[in-house]
Amino acid sequence: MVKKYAAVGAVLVAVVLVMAFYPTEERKIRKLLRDTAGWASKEGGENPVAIAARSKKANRFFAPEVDLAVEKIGLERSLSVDDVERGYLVLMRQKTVFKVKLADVGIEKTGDEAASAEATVLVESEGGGGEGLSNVNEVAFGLHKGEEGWRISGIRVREVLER
Amino acid sequence: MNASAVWKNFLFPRLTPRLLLRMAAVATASSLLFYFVLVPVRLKGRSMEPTLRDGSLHFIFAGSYVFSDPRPGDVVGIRLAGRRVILLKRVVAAGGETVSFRDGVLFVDGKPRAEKYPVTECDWNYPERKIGPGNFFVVGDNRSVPIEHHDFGEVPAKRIMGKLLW
Repeated sequence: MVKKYAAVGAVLVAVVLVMAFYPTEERKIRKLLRDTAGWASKEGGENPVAIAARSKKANRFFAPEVDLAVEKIGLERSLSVDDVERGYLVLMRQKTVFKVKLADVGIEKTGDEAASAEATVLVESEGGGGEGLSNVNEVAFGLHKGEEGWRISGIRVREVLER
Repeated sequence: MNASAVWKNFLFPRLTPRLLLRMAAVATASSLLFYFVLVPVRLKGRSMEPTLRDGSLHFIFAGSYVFSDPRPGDVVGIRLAGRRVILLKRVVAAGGETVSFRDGVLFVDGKPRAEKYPVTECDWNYPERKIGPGNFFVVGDNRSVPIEHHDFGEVPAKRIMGKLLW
């Protein structure tokens, strides 16, 4: 009887573990977004060489062309990975601390190799000639799956409070 | 039963099926209550000072606007992508009204509005804007920062989660 209960318990634990850790497409996208936020964050004290080396990893997170839109300022443009790298370097040189955190990530598959995601993005920064800034935005991501996995192909910073 | 036995039974009760069922029912009811009805929020930031302090704990009543609309003066929770991070702002005007700031004074429909809640003084100027139907205009109480550094504006009703209780 005890063996029977132990076996049922083991099966339940195994099912829960598989459900929790099986690498579904949604989990891969979630990991990509989490890793991108980590890549874009800087705690301070990093030397320029390390930052330059990190900037070269942009192609691990972004598609060759990224459509960027910031509704609040009416910005809409297409960026290459080189543009992303350059922007990253400029930002990281300006800021002593730059933290990006994601919350409320929602993912929807829109096709076999396409998906969209929404998240609340919290940005805290210090340095760059101003006071410390804390910013909260709702961001929509476009995602495409290529040979090397999922990449971000679109970023739209939504204007929640419209001026 | 002596006092120590009562305490022991209270703190370390026997795990009977009935007790486990009651514990599960209380846990489920609490989770539903604090997720869907009374949403706890910890304030981060100073945009609602002096009314609400950075780091303070509050509750939003999600049922506030089931039968009525937000009213000017209400402090409301505004949803972004989900419920974990929300904005707290004060409603100052509703759909159909026009709103503006002139030298720090709030004008609604062309008339200065006496704000009966504590706000910091400012010298903001903001051109007249007509609020769309079903939308609300929200601002923080801390207007001591330059207008370009303060998050405020028009928000659709569907983003308003509820009213701040305390």
